[in-house]
Amino acid sequence: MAMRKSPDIIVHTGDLFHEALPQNDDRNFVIKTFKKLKDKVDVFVLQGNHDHPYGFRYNHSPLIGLETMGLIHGTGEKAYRGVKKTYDGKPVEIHLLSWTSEKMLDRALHTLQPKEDIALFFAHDLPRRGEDLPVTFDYYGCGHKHTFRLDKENNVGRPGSTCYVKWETEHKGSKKLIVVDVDASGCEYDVETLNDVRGFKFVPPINISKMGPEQADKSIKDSLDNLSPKEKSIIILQVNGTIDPETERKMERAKVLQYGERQHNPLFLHIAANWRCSVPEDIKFSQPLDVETSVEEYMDHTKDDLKDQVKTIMSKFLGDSKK
Amino acid sequence: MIRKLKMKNFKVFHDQEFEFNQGTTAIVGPNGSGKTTILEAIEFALFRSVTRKEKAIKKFEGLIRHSAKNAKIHLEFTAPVNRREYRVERTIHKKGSDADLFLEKDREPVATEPLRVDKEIVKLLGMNKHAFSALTYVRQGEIFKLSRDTPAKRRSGLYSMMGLDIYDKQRKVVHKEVKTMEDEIENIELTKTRLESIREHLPRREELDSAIGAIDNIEKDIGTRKEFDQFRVIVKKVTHSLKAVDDELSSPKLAKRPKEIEEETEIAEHLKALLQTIPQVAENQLRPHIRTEARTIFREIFGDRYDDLVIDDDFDISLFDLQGNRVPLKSASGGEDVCVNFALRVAINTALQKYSTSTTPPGLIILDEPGSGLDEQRRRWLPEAIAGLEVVDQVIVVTHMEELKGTTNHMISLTPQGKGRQPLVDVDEMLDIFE
Repeated sequence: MAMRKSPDIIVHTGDLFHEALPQNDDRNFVIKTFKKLKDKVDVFVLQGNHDHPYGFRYNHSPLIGLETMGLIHGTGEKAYRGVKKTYDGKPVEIHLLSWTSEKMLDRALHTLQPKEDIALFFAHDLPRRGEDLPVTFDYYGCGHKHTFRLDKENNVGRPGSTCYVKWETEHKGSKKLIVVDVDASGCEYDVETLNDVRGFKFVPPINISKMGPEQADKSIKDSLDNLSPKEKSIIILQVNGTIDPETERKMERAKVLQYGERQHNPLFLHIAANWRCSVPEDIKFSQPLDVETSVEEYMDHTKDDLKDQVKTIMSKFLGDSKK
Repeated sequence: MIRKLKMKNFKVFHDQEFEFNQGTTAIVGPNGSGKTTILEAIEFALFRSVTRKEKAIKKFEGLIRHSAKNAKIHLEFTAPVNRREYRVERTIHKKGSDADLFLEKDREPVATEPLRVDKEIVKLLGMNKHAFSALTYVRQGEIFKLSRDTPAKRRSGLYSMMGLDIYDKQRKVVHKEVKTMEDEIENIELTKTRLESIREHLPRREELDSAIGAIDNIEKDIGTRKEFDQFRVIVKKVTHSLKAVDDELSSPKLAKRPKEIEEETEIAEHLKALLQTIPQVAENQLRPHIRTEARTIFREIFGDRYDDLVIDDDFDISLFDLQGNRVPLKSASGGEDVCVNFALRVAINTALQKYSTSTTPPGLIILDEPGSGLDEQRRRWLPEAIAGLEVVDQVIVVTHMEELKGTTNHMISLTPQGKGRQPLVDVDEMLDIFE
């Protein structure tokens, strides 16, 4: 989609993969895509927090391999990298900053002094206000957060990270491609809504209240049977209701998932366990932390003969501590 | 819920005002910078007590800044019960404290005198101090403790975090009462046996009567003698003593009281049993809610790896990954383990707020040093987790962690200025870069 604008560079601001050890499918898709772009455009990819197993382990990122293959330009095994290239006969400085500490970020923001007329700054996360950013750079790009934002006044853009955290909110995200035309006098913007390459299929939620384990498993399978999703889509099925612990223990979640995967060959099948689990208990305290009320409620419930006496004695013994 | 706090001569604060807003507020500062003082001021304003290391301190005199005569606290808050703004003003002086409670901007207080104000605030909050602290307060180091404790300890720890330890405390109170009653019975028994043994040594009533009769007869036979009267006086005295002993023995204190006490003890024992059963029932009632809440919080952070979190009867936790496999917490990574415990700990508060009051919950959570005891790796996700706590309206985090900078909506930084000086206060509105 970005290629339609025939840009000089494409920047991905990080979290290309959702974990440091991505699945083969994902990796292959990425390699194929970048291979197509290889000779047409310079691709820059930052390392995001999801690209690291933990801490700031730049050398553990799956992006390193892509860099070695010559498909992308990244920050290597360090947090920062500066690149100078010539586009349309004009020298351009590109400063890349992967996921790093705030200290590093501030240092980069305030010590880097570009020499060329056009200088761009990209950071995975840029937790600063637009007006607080130094005016040294012509454009700031960042990622990390999942929503699109563009601040034309201060020249800061965030397309919105596609890396998944929570399925329920993910499909509502409005991610956009930001196309920036930068020259020495300023920036011009163009945005385009990013169509998710993934097909989302939201199954109407089902309710498994009061079902036994087999019944619950079966009703989940049934609802999966009724689907006819596109090949390789993301299926999300929410399971609600209230069941007892016994049922929950005996449900075979992994098997149900495997069944669904066999049926539809999805990119990803997510069965969200949203059910509640409750112990059958016929007494409910209105204020379990209030001793006197609870004792009274309990005695009412058990039809205690000594209720009145206990009440008197309770206010006699415990009355003071309540005040 | 808490809107504004003003302190005058309260510990290190000469004269300071803080505003609290919706969303997350971090109070950040090194040790000794007065972070805890802010919490203490809030507690004092609401409940006229200050708890340190889980014990209520007795003397408030120490709260007054050295060389000042009295300390003033002024707190504005929204009452959960009626959603109206109230302000409470308390003054601490050497001999005690004064209090006034006002509605909104009124000049005339709705309640004066500490005792009345205390009662009124409990009414406005819909709960007493104990319940309030169980609902809103996450103590220092509790998250760390949860992930390290043995199952038995963990259970009892959770018990007290849920505020159910109040039943134990009350049971101890009842137990003490039972003990005093038992002591009383023992005393009575002792007196009784002593009196009975005295009565044993005294002649019986009939014997005394017949002795008098015998003297009368002798007098008739041989005429009046002075000694007879002396004898009669002695017998009368003995009769008196006997009567006194008998009266004592049949007095309500010795005759009826033991029976009363016995009945009372029986009922008290019954109450003790109830106090032992109820928390278990209450726990069973709350656990499913806690699980649901914990699941929501946990998914917010690790939703890309796990889908479900299950708490069993012993509060042992296992996770279900996205492939539907059960993952025992033991085999989760250190960071995940701590995060689960964080979720569980906070879930206790949110579940209690939703399901343990008959009135509107306060909608406030106070986290006291949530990262304490955790190494850098283990608290990396903490800022994200705290930012994701949308279950309540207001979160106040007290911490020395610099990492939290920029992740909360509001931030109050305290920089100590040396002994006896008020810390430097910086207030920041943290906004998203674009917002």
